[in-house]
Amino acid sequence: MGRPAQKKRLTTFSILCLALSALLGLFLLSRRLEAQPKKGVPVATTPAAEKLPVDAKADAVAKSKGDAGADAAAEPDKKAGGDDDKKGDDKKGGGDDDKLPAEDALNNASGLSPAGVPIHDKGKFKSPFANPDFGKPVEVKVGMLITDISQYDIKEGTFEATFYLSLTSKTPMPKKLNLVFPTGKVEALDPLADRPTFKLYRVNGTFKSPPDLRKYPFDSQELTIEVEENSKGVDQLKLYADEEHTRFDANFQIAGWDLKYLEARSLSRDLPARFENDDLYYGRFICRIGIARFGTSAIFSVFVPAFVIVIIGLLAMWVTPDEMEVRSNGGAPMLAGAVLFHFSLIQSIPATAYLTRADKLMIGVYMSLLMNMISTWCFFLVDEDKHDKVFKIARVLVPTLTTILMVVVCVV
Amino acid sequence: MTAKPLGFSACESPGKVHEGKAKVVRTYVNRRDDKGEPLVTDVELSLEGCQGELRMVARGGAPFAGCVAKKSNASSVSVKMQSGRTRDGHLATRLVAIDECVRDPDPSDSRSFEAFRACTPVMTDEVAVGFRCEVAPTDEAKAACPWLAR
Repeated sequence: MGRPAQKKRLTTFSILCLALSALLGLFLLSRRLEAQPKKGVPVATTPAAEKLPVDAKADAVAKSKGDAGADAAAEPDKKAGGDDDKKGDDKKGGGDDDKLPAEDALNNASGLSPAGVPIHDKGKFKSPFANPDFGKPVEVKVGMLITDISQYDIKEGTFEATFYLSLTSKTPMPKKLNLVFPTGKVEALDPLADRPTFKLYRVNGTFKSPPDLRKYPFDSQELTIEVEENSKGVDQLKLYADEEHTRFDANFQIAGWDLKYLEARSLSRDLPARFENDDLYYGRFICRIGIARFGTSAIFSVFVPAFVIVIIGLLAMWVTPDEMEVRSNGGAPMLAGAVLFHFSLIQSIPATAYLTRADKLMIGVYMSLLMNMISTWCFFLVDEDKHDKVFKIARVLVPTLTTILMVVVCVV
Repeated sequence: MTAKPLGFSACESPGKVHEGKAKVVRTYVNRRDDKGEPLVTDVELSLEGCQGELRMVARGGAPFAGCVAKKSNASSVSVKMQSGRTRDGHLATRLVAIDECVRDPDPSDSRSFEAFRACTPVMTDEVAVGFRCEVAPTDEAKAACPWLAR
């Protein structure tokens, strides 16, 4: 075979490999672009907290009797108009309305606002759910013994949790508590004790925490479980994190993750006005579990393959111009391999609007392979008498630049 | 020379003994023989001197069970711990003596455990709103109690 024919064949082969890599690269890029926030669509800063109450409430409605209050109160017209059995049953506290968790507060409302919402004239809050006659709010200590966390799906940001939830107070708590879990869907809420000053539940459910993958594969995640009492405001009930009784169970582990910390805090918050004079604050207990991915696993599953690709690609630098076919084969197929490896990496995590550490590493790999291929193409562009010079320069320059590049992408 | 597992190379060698002080939180006789003598006893200890809170529950059979059952709650005791391998091959520090009560750790024991935590208040606007507990031994804890560094 003559030299021009060999040259042509190598060029065709390189172009085919490049085209394949470019196609796969474009596919990856399109996946990344899909993750960008759409114009005009606001990005929720605390998505789980605001998006899930409906589910959580619906679940709570299904699981516990007499807590249809929040949903029903939000749609008074629909309730009044759609249920013939309740016509004429407008008396305060009558019929099924006794089951509403905030009915005692509603009954004590001193008047109606122009929009028809019950209103309180006295006390700090005008909201119909306020209870100015309740007296001093009850200070409730919230404890959580976490017994199991499983099925952590980093792609969906969901995990299954089982825990004991304890509420203790020195003075009696208000009746008909309506506990909701804003960041999750509770499958079982089993009361083990229900006394005015002591309540204990065993809870099992699926919860949601958006992952932060900027440092992937050396990422740490925070799993959040939130509990809110959404029928009794802070004028009746104040939640406090119980340090002594918020713990992990013995030998607690999360498969594949290293347990780092447990954080609990209480929060008082109001909601964006759902109706006129919706000014009541509600207490929320927030428990955060800090976990970190095992570093050894991250190194062997992400960094080692990437460096192997780079090193194999660099070996071509020592192939002389006489063996051009071998030299070409050292670069282009590695590029295709790198793209496929990158593709397999992003399959295990959700699309993100930012570059992960693994993405940056792969950019380094692509750049290294690109330099490698450019050095090979130079042989086709320069005269044959300069091949030795190009060979010597490339053999020093490409590995040096690659080393600098890989150090930079690993550190940044 | 035998090869050491990766996770063990940076740690101390098995068999090393550490001594410390602890408080007995409680003891519970789990099983007794026909004469009513303790066969299996659980002892819960709160180890002192390590930064943070270190709780240890150790289950032991006779004669440790009978000896440790006599310890009263809240009493201060000396403890000895020894590095050794668990049944899955991992290095762990196991309680081998409380004062004069010698314990022979059973690798198949799945009840015994220890739990570390070092808590600090979570402040918002200079007001404590909760707490945060590190559950992996901190550097300070490892410095105070070297057997935690594994």
